Amino acid sequence: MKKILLAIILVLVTISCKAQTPIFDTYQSGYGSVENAYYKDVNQLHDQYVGTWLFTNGSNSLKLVFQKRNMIYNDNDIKNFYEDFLVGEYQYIENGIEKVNTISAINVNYGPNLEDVRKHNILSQSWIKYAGTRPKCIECPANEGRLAMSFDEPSKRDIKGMANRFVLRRFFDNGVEKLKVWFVSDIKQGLVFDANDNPIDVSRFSLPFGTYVLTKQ
Amino acid sequence: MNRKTKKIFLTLALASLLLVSSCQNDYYEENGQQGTVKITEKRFDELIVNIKFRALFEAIPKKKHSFSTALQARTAMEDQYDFTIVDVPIKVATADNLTSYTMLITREDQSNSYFENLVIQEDVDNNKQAVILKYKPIEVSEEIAHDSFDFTGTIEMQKIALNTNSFGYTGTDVCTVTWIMCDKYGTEHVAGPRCTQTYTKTMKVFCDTGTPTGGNNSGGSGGDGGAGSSSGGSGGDGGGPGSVIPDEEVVTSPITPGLVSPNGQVIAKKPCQELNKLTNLAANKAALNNLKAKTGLDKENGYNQTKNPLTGILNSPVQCQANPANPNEILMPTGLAFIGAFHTHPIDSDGWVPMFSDGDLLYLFMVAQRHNNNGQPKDYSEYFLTLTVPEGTFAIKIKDWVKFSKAMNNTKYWNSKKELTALRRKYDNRVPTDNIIGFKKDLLDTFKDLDMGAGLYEANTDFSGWTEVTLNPNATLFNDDPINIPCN
Repeated sequence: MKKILLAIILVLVTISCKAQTPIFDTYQSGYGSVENAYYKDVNQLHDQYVGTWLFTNGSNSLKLVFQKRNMIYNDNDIKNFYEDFLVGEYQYIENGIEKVNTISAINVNYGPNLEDVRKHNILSQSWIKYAGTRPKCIECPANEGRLAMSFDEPSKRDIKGMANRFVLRRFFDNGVEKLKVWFVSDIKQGLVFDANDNPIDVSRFSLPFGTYVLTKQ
Repeated sequence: MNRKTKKIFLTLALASLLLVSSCQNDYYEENGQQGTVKITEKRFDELIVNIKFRALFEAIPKKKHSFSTALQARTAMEDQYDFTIVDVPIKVATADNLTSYTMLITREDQSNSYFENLVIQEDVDNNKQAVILKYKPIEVSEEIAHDSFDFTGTIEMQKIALNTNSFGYTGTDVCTVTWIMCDKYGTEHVAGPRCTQTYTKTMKVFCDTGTPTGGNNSGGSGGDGGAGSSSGGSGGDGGGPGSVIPDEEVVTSPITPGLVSPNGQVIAKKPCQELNKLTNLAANKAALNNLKAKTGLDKENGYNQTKNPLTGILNSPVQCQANPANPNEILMPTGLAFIGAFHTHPIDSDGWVPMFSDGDLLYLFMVAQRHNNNGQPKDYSEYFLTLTVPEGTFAIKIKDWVKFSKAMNNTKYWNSKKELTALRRKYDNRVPTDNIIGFKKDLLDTFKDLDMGAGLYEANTDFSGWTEVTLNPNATLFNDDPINIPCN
């Protein structure tokens, strides 16, 4: 019996001393505060958005594709930790003309670090806990959460200051799975700069700011 | 579960607990002192229960009765010693061969023309010393780096006769003081508890005999943790590497009034002074009052502030134009003569956060960086952004340009679109109509976590004064609300 106990204790020592990566909910307060921790999407909030979504309006269309990228290393200068991301790519067609198409990049695995996943054009950023937060969701129950993402465009990748919110809400409409997207500008005119830090007058992406309702494909 | 199984279960549970706790100690970082002389800060009440400090302190003769408690000790001091120890942290300098304690003192007839420190120390051979250092500034101005100040003026030293029957001063041949300095970022300043690389500097001072052995001191700079010093004068560099201080040398890391709050926090005076300067102008007060009346609107409003590049005088603020691309937003230009702006956020009930956004921080950075100051050195404490919301008027200011610019340029904190995820995550956990205290804390936590070198300030209702909003150093699990420290 003693031998069994000793063996179990030995196994526990090995496991617990190796398990130096405590797991926290990535969308709770305290994010990034513990060195080497894993800020995990413990409630699997990202899962509901994974897949392909399509919005069409005449000759205009928006296709979004999302995938998960888990345990990405954030080598922050203050604390180093791991976190889960949802990444996205898109195709935007306006008046029958394809303006942007980054869909093929969705399957690219850029690497295990934050700077790698940032190469994707849509990247999860935070969880908006309440419907009253900008952009407000009028139709949502007060405590319904939404995923806030950051949006980019290949031709504008080097332009600094084009801050925005790309917020997702998954819902069902008569049994059909849908995705509402609020795409709002946080750009402060006069605070947009090119790669050489010269101010430039750019106030929009090819995809217009606004709301879109997409259907799961 | 039989007895045997229970026993095994308990043993395993205990073993697991022990193992888990023994392996969880690596989440904390020690802020170790790498310097040769260590500076720490302690409160008087903490130190007086320390036998070594108490014996040293009691070696100073008293005029009247002795004290029995720490509180009595402080309140009775004016009678006993002609001075009172101010209730701010005491700086403890620990070298290999001695320990010194520097205390800010004040007197009944204290004027603003000087400030004084009581320094008591004991070396390894039990040699005790007590001196009063009187700092007479010609000019004390804040130094942005390390929340500190520059000192120009003279220093006088009076040596207290120890172990005699009554309080009094004695002459001394040693008219020098050794300061513990810090050379962080290459800017000479007095060391504070945050200094990781200390060194010493010996200065000649005026002795109590009145024989001037030292000249004016100028151009020194205060240091981490809120201390200040002077440098230059006729004193020369001394000390150098090594933590053994020369015999009989008085060792100190000076403390100046006004920079250290009763909570032991550093108050950066200059941003406060600049804010007061700003709202002393009637046109600016009128602009802020006007914005107060517009906090219920669903769009931003604001004024831009410029400074005359030739005279340095602030021009009257000019109302911001709406952004043609987004009528809810105003244009806040940077560059040229622009030094700041006053603005509102659209109403909270529309989902807007009643506190500074990451875009606002970016504005403060850009307005400071792009200001055309005619090639003159910039005083980064003058740049500002105010925010008026129904809950009050706030300002963000740069306290340490080196830290601020480093944090603003850190691409690990900011993505290429200039979004600060750390701040957005905090705000997104709240309802915008929540109590503003939470949003203040979110911003201050971000300043602290990212070591941003920025400060948050709050105006009083008639804009006649400002307070600095800081995290509460005595926060508990039940109350961690930020506190307001007056900008005096």
